[in-house]
Amino acid sequence: MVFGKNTLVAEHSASKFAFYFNAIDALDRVDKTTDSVKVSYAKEWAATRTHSAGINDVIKPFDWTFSSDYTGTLINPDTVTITEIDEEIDMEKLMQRDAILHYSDVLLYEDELADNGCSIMNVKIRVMPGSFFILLRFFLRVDGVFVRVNDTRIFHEFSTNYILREFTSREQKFSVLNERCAPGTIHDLEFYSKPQTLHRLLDMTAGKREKIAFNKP
Amino acid sequence: MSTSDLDRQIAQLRRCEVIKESEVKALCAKAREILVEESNVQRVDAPVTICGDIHGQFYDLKELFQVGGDVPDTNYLFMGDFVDRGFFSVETFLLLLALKVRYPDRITLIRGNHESRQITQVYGFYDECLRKYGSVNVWRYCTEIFDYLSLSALIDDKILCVHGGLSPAINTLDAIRTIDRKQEVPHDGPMCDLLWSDPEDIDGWGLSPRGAGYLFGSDIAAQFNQTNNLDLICRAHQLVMDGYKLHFNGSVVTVWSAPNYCYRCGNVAAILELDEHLNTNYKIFNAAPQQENRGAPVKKPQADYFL
Repeated sequence: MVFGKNTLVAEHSASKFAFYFNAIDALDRVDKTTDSVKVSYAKEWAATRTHSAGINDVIKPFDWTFSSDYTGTLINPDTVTITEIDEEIDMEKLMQRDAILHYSDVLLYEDELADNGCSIMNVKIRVMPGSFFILLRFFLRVDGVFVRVNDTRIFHEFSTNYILREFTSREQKFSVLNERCAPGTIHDLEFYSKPQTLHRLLDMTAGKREKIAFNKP
Repeated sequence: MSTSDLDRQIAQLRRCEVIKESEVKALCAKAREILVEESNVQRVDAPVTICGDIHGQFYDLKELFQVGGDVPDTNYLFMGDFVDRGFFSVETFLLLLALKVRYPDRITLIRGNHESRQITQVYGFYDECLRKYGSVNVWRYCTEIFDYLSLSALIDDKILCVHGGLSPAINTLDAIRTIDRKQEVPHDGPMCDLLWSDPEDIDGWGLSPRGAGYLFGSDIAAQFNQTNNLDLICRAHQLVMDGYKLHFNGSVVTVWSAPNYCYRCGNVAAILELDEHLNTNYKIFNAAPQQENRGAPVKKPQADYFL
């Protein structure tokens, strides 16, 4: 299900620079030619298909998990300078219970993977008196196979003239998850569906930190 | 179980109230007697109204009965996926099952891929049974009945109804008739294909990129219809935003009967009315009003200090 009319826009009123989050641009980054992931019972399924030996082709291969490393669309990017940095977003600051003046959770797309798990991308924003914080998250669970979380965090303090953007991709196989935490039954789906609690069990596979500085103060 | 008992249970279920565990047990025993006699290709006479996935959206099922008429005044055929995803799988399935027991010739239920022990443990029905009854007994009774549900229905020898689609191992209706269906939905084989496969704009057969499941093209559907002297294959299984979708110049149709699927997809739902001459009339309907969708999530999420 694509929520094509759902968008989140965060615009800098002086420069008209903006982050624009939408499903179409997010899905544009999905691999349209290969199908690298297979469901948990694919081998079992294929092994018993002797009666239909002639059918071997995936006619239109694509990444049916809809995995995307989308980090948001930039509007008027020439008004900013983007550099890769080591500086991390200060999570201590984000843990402060400043008043939330504005909050929104926008669903961009989701898919049931034909009952093989779930794939979902949403973007949340909270605006506090001195800053705003955006979390764009792609969450994928292929049952019995693996879990993937692609997070983009965007943090801006109004007293500065730059924005920090962090992208991380994390994943883990079910076999490892089952080893690292005691419960391994199918009823623990809720556990496998919560990126925030899974976080410490996932391995980072990609990451990037950027400073987006306004050219005019 | 007397007719008056049954009528009372139906009235209770229509109010979205669950019946007692002992009543579920008796109901399932009775349903089993009826379903065991049904063929894998259950014969149905027109006029009949064909419905697709319901997925536990009880108040939308009530809306469906408003639009299509009540049982037994209207003859119904439901193409599976009664449970999971929605909040009222228990009430939905038990109401349909009670209606089946009360009016066996006026309602036909065939099996969807969600009528399975494995799938219901993942997508809601198991948890819902546990929550509403405090034990898994009701889930056990219901999943045992799932094994008895027919795999397809044939309307006036001309329209085949099946949850998913065709199988490369099945060329004739007789091939469906020979399946031993009284089992959990297998991961492979023709029974699995009937409940899982999808039509796709390809030539011949294709494999799903997921690594399990078949896709069938227009030539496959045309050949199957010709071989079996059919006009139409009617199936459900996939969400379609307009409630129904014709494929391959009308040789296959998808009917979807869960409006605003999962309480957020924004789609309309459809039922397909066939008159005694098999003329088709698609009726579109919307989700039940929000205040009636008790238990559905509120739209505005609570602000939280996400990191």
